[in-house]
Amino acid sequence: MPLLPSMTAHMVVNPRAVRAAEDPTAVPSFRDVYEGYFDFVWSCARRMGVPADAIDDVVQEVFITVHGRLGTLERPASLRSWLYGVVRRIVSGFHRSRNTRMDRDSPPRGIEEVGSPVQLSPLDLAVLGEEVQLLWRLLAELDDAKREVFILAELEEMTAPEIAEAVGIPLNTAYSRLRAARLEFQEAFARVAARHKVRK
Amino acid sequence: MRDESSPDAAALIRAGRAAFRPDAADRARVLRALEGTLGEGALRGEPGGGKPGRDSTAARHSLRAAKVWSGLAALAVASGVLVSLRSWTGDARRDVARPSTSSSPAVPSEPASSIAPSSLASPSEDLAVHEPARAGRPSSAPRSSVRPATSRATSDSLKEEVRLLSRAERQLGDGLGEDALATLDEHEQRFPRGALTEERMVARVEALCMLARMPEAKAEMGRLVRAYPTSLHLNGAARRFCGDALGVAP
Repeated sequence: MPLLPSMTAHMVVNPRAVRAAEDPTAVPSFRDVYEGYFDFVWSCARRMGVPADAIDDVVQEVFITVHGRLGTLERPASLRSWLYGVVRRIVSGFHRSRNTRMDRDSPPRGIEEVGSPVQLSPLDLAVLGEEVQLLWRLLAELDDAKREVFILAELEEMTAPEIAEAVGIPLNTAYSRLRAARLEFQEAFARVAARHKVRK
Repeated sequence: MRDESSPDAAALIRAGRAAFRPDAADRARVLRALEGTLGEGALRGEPGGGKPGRDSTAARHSLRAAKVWSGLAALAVASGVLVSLRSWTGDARRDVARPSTSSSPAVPSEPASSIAPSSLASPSEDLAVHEPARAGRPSSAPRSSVRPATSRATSDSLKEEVRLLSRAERQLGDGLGEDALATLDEHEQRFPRGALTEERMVARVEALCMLARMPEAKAEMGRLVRAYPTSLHLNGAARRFCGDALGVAP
């Protein structure tokens, strides 16, 4: 259970983040944001499909943007949602520019091959355990919108209001989308479990 | 303990939470890179991060300027090759068809290899004026003492374009949006189809965003997209600088 409503596991270990969470109206310093949310930014970007060989550049770009725009943050209490929005835009730009480069350099490919946000690189596949691979396979069965809210809720442990703000959707939509995503995930999981039993 | 034959969904979620987390080395490495880009002062923890807008604007401009310089280098290589080819074919034609009555400027007939490095060297020379870090870089090729008129004209106009764009970049970095726009207007008047047209359009979008003239920024962005649909800048500087305000962010 988080110590404070806006705190999650990755922040508990960080005293700067704790201080920032204790006073939700104070604009945090850039250093506080870096210390408190580096893990969040990194893992969000990786889960959005940024490969290991590009993650440093993408995370750096996120923090450069944060540095430039931290002063425009209107509600410090919603810092995590705001940060997610920054990560989302930069990762999206990363995928588009990478796809553009690949399109120029390669023969035409099917749409399913282009920049799938849950596509794991061969390196990732080699490093990640079977459970994570299975999880990503199940996530790939969700459409983009549902997958995004599911990941934010289940993996990043964000609340529905935070998700609504981060993704830019009404709160009711966030709730209904999350409910639908959980249902679809459970169904996909049940199918996998059933196949597993049949094979066994 | 999880049953291997029927993996538990909650265990999958737990594994997913633990995956893709950075370690201390990742954190330190990115921090070092940021310090290199933003300067150590930006990371020392002043409330609000000191003067973030100015510093990171400068950082972005330096990143974009690096792209402009690399584009220029490529352009210089291409123009060098073109000039070499034209000189070579021109010399050949003069040798064969117009032995003595050419009205073109007197150009010593040099081998192509001795002309190309000259046109390659001049943009580097220009860059050294604006970019001290490159000043000490040794030139990889010897210079020719005489350059063809076409090469000199190309080099001079490129030099002037670089000068104007550099001035606009500095003005943007200093928060002088109106001045930057005036400089960009001058560039457009003098070089309506110059080698740096794309960069000028991006800089104009940025200047308009800086001045909160969003309808004009959007219109300029639209022109940029139409003129350069594969521009690397589309997902880069202009969008980041203007944020969501352009209505083109994902």
